[in-house]
This record gives sequence, C-alpha cells and structure tokens, in this order.
Amino acid sequence: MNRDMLKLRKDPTIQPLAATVTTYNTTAFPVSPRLGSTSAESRVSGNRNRTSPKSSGQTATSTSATTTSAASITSTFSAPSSVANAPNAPAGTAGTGVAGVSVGPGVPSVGPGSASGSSKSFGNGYTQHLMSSNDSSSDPSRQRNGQGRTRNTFKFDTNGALWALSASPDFSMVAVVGRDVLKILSVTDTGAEETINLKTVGIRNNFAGSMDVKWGPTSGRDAKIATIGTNGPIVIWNIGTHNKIDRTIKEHTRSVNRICFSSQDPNLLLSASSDSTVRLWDLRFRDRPGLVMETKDIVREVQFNPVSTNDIVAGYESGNIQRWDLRNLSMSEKKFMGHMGFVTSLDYHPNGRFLASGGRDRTIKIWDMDDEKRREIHTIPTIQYTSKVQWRPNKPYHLAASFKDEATVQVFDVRRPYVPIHVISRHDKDATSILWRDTDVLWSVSKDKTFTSTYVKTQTLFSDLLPSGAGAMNCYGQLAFTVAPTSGADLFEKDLVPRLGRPNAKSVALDGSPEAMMYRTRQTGGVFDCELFNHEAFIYCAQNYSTDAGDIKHACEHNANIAWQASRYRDSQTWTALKLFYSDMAEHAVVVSQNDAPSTDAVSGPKAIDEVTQDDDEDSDASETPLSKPAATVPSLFAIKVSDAPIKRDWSHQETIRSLLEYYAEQGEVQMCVTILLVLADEKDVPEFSRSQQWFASYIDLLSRFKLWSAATAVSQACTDPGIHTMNQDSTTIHTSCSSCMKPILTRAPTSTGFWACDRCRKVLSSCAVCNKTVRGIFTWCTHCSHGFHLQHAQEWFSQSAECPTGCGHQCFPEMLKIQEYQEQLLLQQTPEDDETLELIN
Amino acid sequence: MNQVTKFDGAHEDLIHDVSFNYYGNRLATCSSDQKIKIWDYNEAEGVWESSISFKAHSCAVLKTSWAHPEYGQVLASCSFDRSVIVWEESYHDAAKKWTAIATLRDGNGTVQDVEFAPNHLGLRLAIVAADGLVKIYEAMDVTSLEHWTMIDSFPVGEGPSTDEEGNHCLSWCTSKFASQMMVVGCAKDHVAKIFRQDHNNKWQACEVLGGHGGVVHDVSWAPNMGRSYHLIATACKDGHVRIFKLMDDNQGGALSGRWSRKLFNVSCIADFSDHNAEVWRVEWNITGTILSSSGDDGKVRLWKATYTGDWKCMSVVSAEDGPSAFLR
Repeated sequence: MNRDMLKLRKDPTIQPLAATVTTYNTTAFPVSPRLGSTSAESRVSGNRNRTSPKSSGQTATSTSATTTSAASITSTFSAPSSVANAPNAPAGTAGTGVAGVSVGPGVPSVGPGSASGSSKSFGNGYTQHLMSSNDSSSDPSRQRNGQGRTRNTFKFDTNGALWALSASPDFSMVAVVGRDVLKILSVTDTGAEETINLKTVGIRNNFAGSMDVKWGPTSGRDAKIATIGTNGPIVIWNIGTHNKIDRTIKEHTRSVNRICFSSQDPNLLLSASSDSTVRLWDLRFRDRPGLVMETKDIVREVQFNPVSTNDIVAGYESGNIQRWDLRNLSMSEKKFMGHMGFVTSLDYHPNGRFLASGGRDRTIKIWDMDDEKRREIHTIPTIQYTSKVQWRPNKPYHLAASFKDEATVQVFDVRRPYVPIHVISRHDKDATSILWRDTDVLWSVSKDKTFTSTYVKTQTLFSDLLPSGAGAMNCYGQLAFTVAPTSGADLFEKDLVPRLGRPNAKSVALDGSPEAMMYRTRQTGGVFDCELFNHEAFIYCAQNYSTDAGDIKHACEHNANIAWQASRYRDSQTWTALKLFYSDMAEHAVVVSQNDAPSTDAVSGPKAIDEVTQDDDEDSDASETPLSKPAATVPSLFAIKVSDAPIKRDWSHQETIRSLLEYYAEQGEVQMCVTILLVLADEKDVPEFSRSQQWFASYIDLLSRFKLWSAATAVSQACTDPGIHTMNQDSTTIHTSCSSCMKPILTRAPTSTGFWACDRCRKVLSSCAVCNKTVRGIFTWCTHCSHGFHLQHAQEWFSQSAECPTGCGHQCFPEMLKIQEYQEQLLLQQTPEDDETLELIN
Repeated sequence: MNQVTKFDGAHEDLIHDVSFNYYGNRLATCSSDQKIKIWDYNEAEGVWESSISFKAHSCAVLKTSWAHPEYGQVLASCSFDRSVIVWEESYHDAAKKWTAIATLRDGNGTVQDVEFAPNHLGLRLAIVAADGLVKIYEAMDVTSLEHWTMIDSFPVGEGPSTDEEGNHCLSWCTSKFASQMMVVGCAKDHVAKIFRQDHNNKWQACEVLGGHGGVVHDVSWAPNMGRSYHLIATACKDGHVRIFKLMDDNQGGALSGRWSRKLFNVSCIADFSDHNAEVWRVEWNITGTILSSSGDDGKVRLWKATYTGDWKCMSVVSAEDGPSAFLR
C-alpha cells in the first residue's frame, strides 16, 4: 500500500528530527553556526527545542526522513498542544491519532539509505541541529537529492521590506533592494548571508534604498549592478573591488520604473521611465547621452531579447506592448494592445520568440513575437495582477509569477492556465519579486523583509489539493456527479490533448514541437437516476391520500387503494391493517390472524393495476384481494406485530401503532407517519410522539420541494400542533390598502353585514356592482371600466344587458365575455392534466 | 431507468462542486476555470440545459450553495481568492443575468466551504476558511441582500491553522426542532466536530467524530426526518467513507434544545474503504436514507441501510458514455 506508506512518512511529528538528522549528517557543506541571527528563526528553533523531546519518543522507531515546507512545520509547532496530545490519544485511535496532527505538504523523496542513518545518529544530529539554527526554519524542508546535496529551502531576514532582487550570473551573489535596503547577499545551497551593505554609500548620495536592481552580466571583480535610487536617478555600482558608485544617470525627467542589462553585451543598459522614454545606455561612454525611444506613454517595463541583441520590448501604461529595433529608434517595429490597464511585467522566453506579459487586467498572456497576428497564444487569469513574471529555465511551458498584494508565488504551466502547478506560500506578506536560480530553485523577496529560496520540486502539487469529485442528489432521485481518477505530476503529460487552433490563428508549441497541446482533465460527470426515492408515487399519494379523521374506516380504505395504485404495496397493507384495527369489528382481526395472509409482504405482488378490486366490499378485503398473495421476500413488520398481538375484542393498538410509526420514521417515510397521524387524529389510544412535529415539518418541506403547495397547506392546517398549524402563515404577509384612498386596511374580516369598508373613507372595499357587498373569493371585473362583480352576479347581469350595472355607461359585455372564455379555458386545461398524471402512475 | 447519462459540464478545468437548488430543477456547477454554470431541467425532454455561464471569481471556485427559493434565485460561492460572493439572478431585457450582490472578503485564506443555513433560521450563510475560522453571516433585511452582517465567528480548533493541505468543511443540521448545530471538518486535527450554541449563544465545540486517518474532505449531516437519531457522513483523505450515528444521550434533550456539551452518544456505524482512493464528497439524499460518495477512483458509490440497519454499498456508478443529459 503505497498510499499508507506515504501517510506514515508524512507524519509530521517525526519530521523535524528525522529530517534534520539526515540533512546534517549527510551534507557535504560546512554549516556555519549562526545562532539566532533573526527573530523569526530563533522563534522557530525555540519551538523546536520544546517539542523535540516529545517527538523523539515517537521517532525513535520511525525511519524515513521526509521533506516538507517550512510553513507547515511552523504551523505544527505553533500549536504544540496538538503535538502533545497525540501520544495521549486513546488506544483505539492511537494509530491515526499520531498521524492526525497534520500532514506536511512535502513529497517524501529520500531513499532507503538514509533511513538507518537517521535513527543511528539521532543524538548527534540533534545537537548539530541546535547549533545551526540559522537555517532552522528551513531544516525540515531540506531535500537530499540524488547527488547527496542538500538543496535550498531557506529564508533570510534582511530587516527591511524588499522590492526587487537580481543575482550575479553565477548565482553566488544576489542583490536585494527595498525602500531602505541595499544589500548584497552571498548565497549557498544551504543559506544566505549578508556580505555587502551599500546603504551607507547610498545615504551619502541621498538615497537609502532602491526600486529596482539589476546585476550586470559580469561577476567577480568586474561586477556591476544598476539600481534605481529612491530619489530618482539610475545608479551604477562597481561591486567586487570597492563598493563605490561608478556612475549616476540623471537624464530621465521623471522616475525610472525598470532597468535591464543586455545578456550579450555587458555594457548595454535599458531604462524605462515615466517620462515616456526608453533610453539605451552604453556604460563604456560615460559622457554619451542615452539613445532615446520616445512615445506618448509612461513606460512600465523594458526587456532585451535574450537571443537577438537589437531587439527590445517595452510595456506601457496604456496596456500597449511595443517591440523596438535598436537600429531604428524613430519608430517601434511592432506595437499591439497587450492588456486592459498597464503592463506590469514582461519576460522573454529563453528562445527569444515568445513573450510573457502580465497586466493590470489580472492576466498573464503569452505572445508569439514572430507571428504577424497580434493575438495571444495563451492566457492565464490570475488572482491579482502580476508584479513579476519569469519563465522557468529548461521548462519551456513553465513560468512563475508574483502578484500584487499576494503572499504566494505561483508556478504555472501555460497549457493548464487555471490551475497552477505550485502555489508557494512561504511569505507572511506580499511577495514582490521572483527569480529562478535554476530549474528547481526559486528565489523570492517579500515585504515581510525576507529573501527566500524554495526548492520547488518538493512543493505540493496544487492540483492534489483540489477536490476532483463532487456529487449532489435532488428530490427526484437524480444524482449529478463528477469524478476523476487520481492525477499527478507524471500524469500531466499524458493528459495533454492537441490544442485546437482558433480560426485565423495557428496555435504554436512553446517547446518547438510540431503540435500545440493543452491540458484536459480526466474528470467525467454524469447524471444517475437512482430510483430509490419514488417521487412519482410520493406525489401521487400526497395528492390523493385522504386525511379525513372523521371516518377512519373509509379513509384507510381509500388510502390503501391509493397506495396500491402507486405501487406501494406495503403501505397499502398498512392501511388495510389500520382499517381493521380501528373499524371496531373484531372479526376482521380474526381473519387476519387466521390465515395470516395479509401479514406477509406483497412487495413482489402483481403490478397490474387491473387486479386491484375497486369495489369497497368489506368481505373481499383480506383473503380475496391480491394483497393476500404470498411473497416471501422480506419479513414485514406486520408479520410480527399482528400475529404477536393478542386477539381480543377491545385490544389496544398503542404499541403496534408506536412501532409502526417508529419503523416508518426510521425509513424516512414521513409521508406515512404524517398521514397515519392525521387519519387517527381523533382516536384516543394513539400514542404521543415527541418527534411528530419533526415529521410534520419534514413532510411539509418535502411537499414544498415538489411544489405541492395545496397538499402542504392541507397538512399544515390539519395538524393540531400550533407550531405546524401556523407554519403556512409564517413569512406570508399580504398588505392591502383601500383602492380609493390608499389607506392600509387593518380590519381583519368583513363586518357581520358582509361589508368590508375602509376605515378612512368608509367606502365598501371590492364591492360587487350588482349587490354592493364586498366580494369574497373570486372577484371578476371589467378591465375597461374596472367595476367588479361576484362572478355569479356578473353572469346573471350580462346575460340580459351589455352595459355596466353601475350605470357608468360602459358596454362591458364583450370584455366580460373574453374573461369568461378565459376562465373556461383554464378549467379545460386543468382536467386533462389530471388525467395524464393518473395515466402516468398507472 | 436506472441509468447513467453522461454529463459534460464543458468547464475548462476540474469541476469542484455540483449543487441542486431546493426544488431540484436547477443545478449549479463550479470549476477551477473560475466560472459558475447554471443548468435548468427541461422536464419535457428530460435533459439539463445550460442556462448561463459566468466568470465568478479570480481563482478556482470551490463550492456553491443555493439559498431557499423564498429569497429568490440566490447562490453563494466560495473560492481560493479568499472571497465569498452572493449572486442573484435578475432579468434584464428578458436576458438572465447573475449579479454579484454581495462580496464577503474579510477572511485570511481560501474559503473552503459555504452553506446556507436551513430556512427556519432565516437567510444565513456559514463559511469556513483555511484560517480555521467558521463565520456565520446573516442578511438582516431579506429584501436587500447587499448587506450581510457577521453574526458569529469561531475557530474550529486551537491555534491558527496554516497547514496548506488542511481542508475545512461544514454542514448544517437541518432539523427544525433541534438546536442550531453544524458539523465541521477540522483540517489538521483529522476529526470532525459538532458545534452548538450554548446558553450564551456562543458556538462551542461539542462531540468529536474521530477515527479518521487523514484530512476530512467533506462532511454531510443527513436530514433528520424525525428519526430518533442523527446521521453524519464524512469523506476522508485516507480513502474511507464513514457514517456516524448520534443517539440522543439524555432522552429528548437534543430535541428540546437544552444545552449541554454532550447531547449525543456518537458511534461510527459504518466505515468503508471501498474507494481505495481519496474520497472527496459525501452527500445525502433528501430523506437521509441514501448516501453518495465520490472518490478519486473515478466512481460514485451509493450506500443504503439494509433492513437490519447495516449500511451496504448498493451501487457503483461511473460516468460511461451514454446519451447526454446535458445540452449546452
């Protein structure tokens, strides 16, 4: 059972130690002890100190080291009580109780080799771990990969909100900047440390921080970085030898939004500014002004094509994206509307042909820059607008993005635009920028002041967290459902289908393969008619059952017939039995007990309705009707109850009725419960049921689901329980007001004389023009002169005269004729419908 | 009959929820493609017709819930984008349109479940988010649904829950005569708990439904229908479907509405591992006699109690090619 093993390995209580131990015993890198260098880290390590002894009890025998993200471990620790409770779980649940704390999102990927190592060197590893608290928050997320290297998932706190980052070409150094941060960190696989702080130099030059930073294509002693100072100008730094400012570029008249180095010519720098220009600087020529590419639009973003040096692309406030050829600066080579709202981020695909752009319209779009057509080939709708988007190295379809006001960083495959591959939530506040270190390591900076490295491979697949199955049942017994077989990373490629090109636009594959593909889920759906609740029979019975408590015998007989016609043979028998119980004739009871026939169930009885004898002859009820046909399928309740009951003249049926109703209630058959209760309402020896209210309420609810309003009202009216009786009055308010003075009518009922007059103007309300009394019931009126009548009075009057009886002079007759015809039509329409229902049931 | 008709929701990614309205003649589907689709049953043809499809959220839409029709055609949806939106159908020039009349966005995490309260409690909405907080909103004035007031908020467990794999889910007890109750699946604790209001109207965690070997993906409180006990089903990541029976502890106490932390004797009366894969949803039929469960094995299973009270699998349903019940 793979799954079970997985679960065991994911047991979070064993993670911290096991993971740590493995990490430090096998790491090839020296770990410098930097105790509690940041507040966040020391907090985590402090927690660990507390919980570790507890965990050790459980981990002594556990074997595997697992990886997980720091976030989940932190959450486990921050609720130490749950960890502490686990060992105390009752024996019955102990097995699951341990696992029942939390499941880390990591994917176990440690080979069996590490297992023995971890348990052997337990104590040793624990001490080591304490010493290396610098990386403590990342410890559990350590990943020991095939090369025996620990890979980087760590955090570094820079003590200031960060806005941008840029790495040296060999990724050993990274420049991180923010409003008051100008730092260069050296980064290894295990952590980061601050090497250079440029802030003091910056402050001397009137800026404490930077909006954007770009590392030039050189590293080591010739390293150059460019920053946009918070006071405006672009500042070029010489890093490596002296941390000094090499040059300050102040030509832009308004703020600079983004800068970009050419990857091919280390001396070329582009800057995009709010002064509507993109300028190209050659850093070799200190005094030469930049080349200007001017538009009428604020430039948000600019980037070199990684393949062709002369090709640059810029994104504008209006949503335009323009491509410029550096050999012709007078006019852009290509211009198209990329987004609704400004362009926030651009990134050229490593192959130099495709462009990813993020816009204010909360989409990422992929463009084919070689195509004449200016239509995106992929669109990814995002949670917020992107602050930075970057293609993943060596994965032609993947890109990562950070978002405005969003703490998570998301990795997408453009072939599945709606569901990210990973949602990486390692920051507490907005992630502001990202950078791929290599295919599997993603760096990010955030307003939570941290620089974070994430080993993406071990992150949970987001699609695994999404429910892929759903189901719902309605009152007609239909089950609508969707299900999907388990998917996973390896299945992604298999689930790709050829992407249908739009008319007028050929679809292109980003990896150069001949056919463009897209992801399609394996989810399937269906509607299943599981005739388990026979709604037709329910409706038929609801409409036809008699609830007349006055004549139990007749009502039971009627209901038995109805139930039979609805193929509810058991219910039919119940009614027959009830009739025998309460029709004060002991002979019937004797008949029942003698041949014992009706007590056997007739579930498999004949379906043909013509066999039902419609005559109400009492003599023919038990043994002669098809009811008595033996059917030995399921023992019925009555087989037990009726035969058990002592046969005497005035027995009490209390217990029988009680267990009868209990039985029906158990089956959810509130229809029977309620109808029986109503029919027996006047009987003295019917037991009280504490839950009868609930039966009534449930039945009325069911009736209203089937829109059987009349039946629901009848049930509610017939019920003696005040709560149910007034149910149909709940939230039903009809406001009436006098038609001539608009005063609300508060009088509840017409006066004894049959008049219903307005309190203010004393006019008779809705009076009949013939008899002058208030019309109760159907009010018929002439649509032209709006005088109303009792229907009968109108008929009488207009059979003799065509004029309005009030003397208003209007010739009402033709109008009234129409109304009458309409009413007759209504009547005609109703009748066949009823017949149809009957046929349907039959 | 007894057949499966294929249903292609025509969503562009996974469908996460399907829900019927009160009358069972409208269906809402929601998906990762950020859309909600409404389907109407054409009784004459016996098919489901697409009524409308609209973009609802800026992330995957996880659940939808219909309000009682008394309040109009009202739907609530929750999403990964941390918001809950209340939608109302309106007609503009004979064209149907769903308008977002209220957006509830004060949570700090994915809203994982949303469900309207049973009608007798008024127009109320319970949501639970990844931050482990259950919130109950009420539309005080049912004629204008723009204004929702948060009337209650309580954590499902102790301490904040940031476990990204954690899932919370909830289900109201629909019984009219029992006190207000709901069952909540608590992510990291791998249990479901019953919450009830105490005499100070504070929601308190009461009985615990334990024994789960993983995150509880879904809970469903069966319609009571006047039975002497309650049934609650859970769907679990460990591949099990469980049914819990809540017997009244002190006779009539649960129904009389008296408050006590322990009203029920909870027992797990059924535990099925038939799916052998993650189970995502459990759903009762309207009389609480049949349970459906959908799992990652690509099957829906139907469970029913036998006459002796044992729960048994009565059907295994999968979507095979058949006549399509859905027209786009």
